[in-house]
Amino acid sequence: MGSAVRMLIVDDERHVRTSLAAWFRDEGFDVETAASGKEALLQLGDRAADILLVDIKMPGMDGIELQQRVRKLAPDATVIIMTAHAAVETAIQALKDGAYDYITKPFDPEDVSRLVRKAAERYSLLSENRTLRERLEAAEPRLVASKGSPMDAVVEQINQVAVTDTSVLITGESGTGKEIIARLIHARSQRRFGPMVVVNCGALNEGVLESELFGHEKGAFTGAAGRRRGKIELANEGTLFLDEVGDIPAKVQVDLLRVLQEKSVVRVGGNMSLSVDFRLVAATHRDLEAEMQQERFRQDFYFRINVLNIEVPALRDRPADIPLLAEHFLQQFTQQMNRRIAGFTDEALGGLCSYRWPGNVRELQNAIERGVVLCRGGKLGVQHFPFLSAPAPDDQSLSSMEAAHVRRVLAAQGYNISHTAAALGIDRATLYAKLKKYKIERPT
Amino acid sequence: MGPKLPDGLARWVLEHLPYPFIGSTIVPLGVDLGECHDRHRNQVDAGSLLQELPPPSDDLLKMALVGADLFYSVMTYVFGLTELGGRRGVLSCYRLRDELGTRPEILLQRTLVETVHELGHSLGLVHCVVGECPMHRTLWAEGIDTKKETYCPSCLATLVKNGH
Repeated sequence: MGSAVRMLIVDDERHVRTSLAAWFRDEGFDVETAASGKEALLQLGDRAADILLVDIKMPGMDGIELQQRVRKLAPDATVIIMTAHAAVETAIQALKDGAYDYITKPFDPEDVSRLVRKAAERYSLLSENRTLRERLEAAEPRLVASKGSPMDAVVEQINQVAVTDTSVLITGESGTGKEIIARLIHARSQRRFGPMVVVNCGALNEGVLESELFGHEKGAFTGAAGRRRGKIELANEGTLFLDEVGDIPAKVQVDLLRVLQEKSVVRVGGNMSLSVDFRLVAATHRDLEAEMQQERFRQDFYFRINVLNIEVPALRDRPADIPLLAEHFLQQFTQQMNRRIAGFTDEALGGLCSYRWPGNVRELQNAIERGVVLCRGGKLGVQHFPFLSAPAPDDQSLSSMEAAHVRRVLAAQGYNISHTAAALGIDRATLYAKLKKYKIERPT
Repeated sequence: MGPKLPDGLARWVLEHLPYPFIGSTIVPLGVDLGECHDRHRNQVDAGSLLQELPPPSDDLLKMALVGADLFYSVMTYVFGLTELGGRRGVLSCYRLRDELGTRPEILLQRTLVETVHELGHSLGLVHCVVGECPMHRTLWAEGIDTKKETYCPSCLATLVKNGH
């Protein structure tokens, strides 16, 4: 453990420095010594120390002042004060100023070894913690937007709401990146070290959604072979993200409302109330106010989830972001597929910028992925984006236009039924009915 | 100046020293312990004693075995002190006694193991991670009981590599 830990021993008495240095080198520490506070600061400028053993009484800069200056220079360094019995009160002052501990001279070898090992363990934990934080920060999703983009306002809202603990409702068309916004809120919040649990409410029927959210006890229903924790329980101390919240059935809305009010959950088939502490972020592509008017969405639940609202603009409302996003996805997919593609032709980029993107960023992402798959080197051109050059159908009837539009969105979404349905603003069953009606099949 | 060395201890240790110390001999200490005695602590300063110890002649090693309690610098006590590769060292049996006093043979074995430990330092060996090796560092006497008096293969290999 001690092999990587760097120690600096600061004492004006040479025999103390040499004896302690020899002692801790034997224990596996990387030890340097300094005869004064000034020398210690000079050394720290060149080489960081993880643990400092500092004598409290030294001519010139004393241990207290050195400790205070070390705090500013290296806040993570662990300072242990060495003191004589007579100066214990001063050592206690050093503790109040942030020293890790103090030890009185002369030392019991067991005591000093134990103390320094404890400090080394603390250092290891701090380092591990720092590494994990850095990894977490590096893992924060990236929001690609140009300067002056409407997304600037969204980012500002994210930063404002992230530090609070209130519920957030993210609205916007399908494919605008609502989940990324939710992840950013979580990543920038105090709960970022807790879990972020995602539930796609639109993909589940009422019974499954109930069990998914609240969990169930063994035997709660046919097939409930064992106890299962719900997503709400799993989100404890973190963030619960309810995607497609507008699709939640009325009964589940009532149950969720109770959870939000009481901060506790009861598993399906259970009778024990479990305390939960989570932050709710919900998202929908639906107009919930219109849904309320049609009594498809409960007003009380709406007000509970819509404390703060973030409206994510459609991609067609921020055309300046399209080249940046296209380039971002191009880099992402060329790296993933190990391809060399030199960018876009001007014609293709112009087409991408003027296209209306009904499926928003997700549609753009799918289009670029498909283009990278099809491209055999050089640049991505309009031929790699069939929807840009699709001729207007001769038949101008509504059904013909609809069939052409479904075909185009389906191709842009890589023939993914869920994404296409979301982009078209219809459910999967309706999309299947239209595919059948227009005899649209996935090309082999 | 503290307790004297128990009778027969040095002789017993000498007779049980392993390779490469077989054939060692006992010589008088050659130092006045009173010169290194700290009256306030009622302990002997291991650092001063080491300095006062006449250096051994030729390629020999010298280990001063004393009955007095040793301290060193800011440490309240040490079992022994040796300059790494310096061919001389000091060792006290003061803290190596069986705490309950029921097993006198424990002092013999602990003194033997710690003698081999300090002699190892005088030949340039550093502390060893192997728990049974005499070069493993122990801060309390009971810890010595888990060690053997013969070096582990790694420490032996180091000695051979260094020409001992």
